[in-house]
Amino acid sequence: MRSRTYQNSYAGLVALSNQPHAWVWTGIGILILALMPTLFGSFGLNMLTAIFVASIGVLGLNLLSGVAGQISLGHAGFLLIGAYAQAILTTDYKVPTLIAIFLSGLVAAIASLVVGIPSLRLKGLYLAITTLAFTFIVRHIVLFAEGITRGSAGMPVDALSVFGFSFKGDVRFYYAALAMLMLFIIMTLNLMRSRIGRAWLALRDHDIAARAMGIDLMRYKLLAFMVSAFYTGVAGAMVALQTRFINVDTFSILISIEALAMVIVGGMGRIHGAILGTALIIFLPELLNLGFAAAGDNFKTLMADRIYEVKGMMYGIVILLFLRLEPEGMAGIWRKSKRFWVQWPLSQ
Amino acid sequence: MSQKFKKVMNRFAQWSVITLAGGVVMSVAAQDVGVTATEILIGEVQPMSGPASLIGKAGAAGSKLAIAEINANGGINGRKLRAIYEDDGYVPARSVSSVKKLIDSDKVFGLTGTTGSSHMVAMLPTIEEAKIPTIVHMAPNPAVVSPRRPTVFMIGPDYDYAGYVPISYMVEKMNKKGGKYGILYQDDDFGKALLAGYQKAVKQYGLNSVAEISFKRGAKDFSAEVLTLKDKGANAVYLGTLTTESASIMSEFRRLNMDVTLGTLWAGQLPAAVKLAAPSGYQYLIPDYYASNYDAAGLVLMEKAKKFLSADDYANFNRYTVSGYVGTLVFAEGIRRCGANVTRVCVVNELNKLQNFSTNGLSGPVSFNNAKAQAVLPIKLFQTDPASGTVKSVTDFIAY
Repeated sequence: MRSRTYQNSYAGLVALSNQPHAWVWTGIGILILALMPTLFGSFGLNMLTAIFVASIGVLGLNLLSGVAGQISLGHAGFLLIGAYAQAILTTDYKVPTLIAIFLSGLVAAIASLVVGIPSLRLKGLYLAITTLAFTFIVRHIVLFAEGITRGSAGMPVDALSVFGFSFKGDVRFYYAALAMLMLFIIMTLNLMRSRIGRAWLALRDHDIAARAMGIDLMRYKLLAFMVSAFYTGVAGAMVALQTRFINVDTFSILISIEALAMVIVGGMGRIHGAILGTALIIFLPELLNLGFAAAGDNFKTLMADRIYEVKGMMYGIVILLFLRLEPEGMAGIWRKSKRFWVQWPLSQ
Repeated sequence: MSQKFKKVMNRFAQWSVITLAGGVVMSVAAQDVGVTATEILIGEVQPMSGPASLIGKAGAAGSKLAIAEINANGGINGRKLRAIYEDDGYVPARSVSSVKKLIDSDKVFGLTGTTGSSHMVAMLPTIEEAKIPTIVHMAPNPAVVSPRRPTVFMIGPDYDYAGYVPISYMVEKMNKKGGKYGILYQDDDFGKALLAGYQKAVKQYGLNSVAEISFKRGAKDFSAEVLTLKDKGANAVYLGTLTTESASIMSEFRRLNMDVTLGTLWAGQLPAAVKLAAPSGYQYLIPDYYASNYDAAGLVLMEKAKKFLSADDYANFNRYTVSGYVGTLVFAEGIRRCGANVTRVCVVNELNKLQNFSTNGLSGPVSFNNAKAQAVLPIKLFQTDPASGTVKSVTDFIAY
């Protein structure tokens, strides 16, 4: 049985992981993901890619809501801004697609100041409504600024290309999305163990106490919104690159609710929780389909055209079940399962 | 020993011949993806939830009806048709995911339902890459067939006809040549196509157009626009709007007590739209390339629907049911003409040759043997009867 490890240096304490087995398992995980295109066809890869892309945005929301404790129902707006920035920068200004991804994140980060600044004086429900209003405003601006955004007609999006190598096609884009997710996971892990990450945690747990400890609330709240919006903007750019066509219909208010559901189901404030939560929510309709199939052909046919209505209901049920039975979310289940395995046969 | 050897060799030769013959038969009857000896699997992406579910559920019901009828009559050359319906919630990203599922995971032979305009544009790269025969029948967006996609076929005229036909009727049959004309249109490609049709009629008949007012998609309040129309003295107005917008504009006309002749586009004949607009009392004109529920052909179809559809599906019956029915019938005809050897290449070839395919009065004859593979169907004009909440046809199907 393994006991906990004790560090005798600060470097040891802030290392990404000081346990060799963690790196081995990470390597195995990446290898398995890299081999997925040999196992799955276009649809399977498309779903996995959607999970990777959504995970980037959910990691961002998790930093804001799970780590810094600021609620947001406006992430559909940031996603939309990122997607449109990607489309406009590459189509109209011929910015290289890879650079445009990060510029799109930057555009969303700057736009986040619109809700970030009011957040300095707003909390809880008031902040939620403000961020929700932001999404409505952004959607209307996109529809009205037809000269730039093509209004409701939508925009085609150039495929991702890096130094002349095109990532057109499901398999290539799968690897691009996987690489981007890896990059953002590493960024998040580093951010969380920095002064900024610790300041956000203090802000979440007790903002007055945090201020008493010398944490500049204004700076860190704004930073939380900007970083979170940057992640979501990048996710939006990736959505645009995956779909290769965007219009406002893709970015409904429901996306913000879904993203929040992913954070809650995954486990607030946990990086692996955000990814597990995203995977569960995206797979939910397919899991339902499997359930319907198991219930027989008649039931499957009956439910075939109600899958998204049932899915909407299932979000609520899944969140309720997690809050009631496992408030730590999937990250909690993961932690308990790991502990059970490590401490076996003494585990309880 | 030699006798035994001979016997073994004879047996080997017999089995070789049988295997070879079997192989030949198998290769002759070799079928494409989604086709078995007994079944042909097709797919549809429809908005069956969300704001456009009224359209998607009706379209899927039409397809189900056509399939049930075909199968009840023995299928297509002995094979039954089966369809898988994917709901995209009217979100383009989901449309792409759904079509990928149908093609890659469900392995459908062809597509007969392709959701809305922008959704179809988003799905096009996937459809082109898979070279899968596809019938577009619900949202005839010109971008789908310009440039021509080799496996994509579209049923329906361009939107500008919807703007042209009611104005033409007002002039020729309603004595409105001296009227003051106006149009309210959505400020996007769809609205601009309607405006182009309206302007064509204005130019052709030398009409006095007093107002061309655009509005942004999603607008809910039209009081300023209607007031402008009243101010300009408009008494013949074309509404380039969808269901709920049309009803709120008409109630605004009624509030201002305006005596105005109105025309709109095909979505205006949805039963829900007619009922919504009924309280305003206007008998507005609706052009459509499909029969209504109240036409003779539409009534026959509704009788079939009663027989073949579930109560849920029957409740969803509207013009998009006719659209789904016609789209599936046309696709089935392409398959039927291929005989026993059903391949995607063959069906695409046969659809390319399709000329004057009759839909028994549900629309004009369908032809794809043109450069765009677009069946530009003739248009019938309907007028609403607010008292009964129904529509009646005022012309036959006419090619413009």
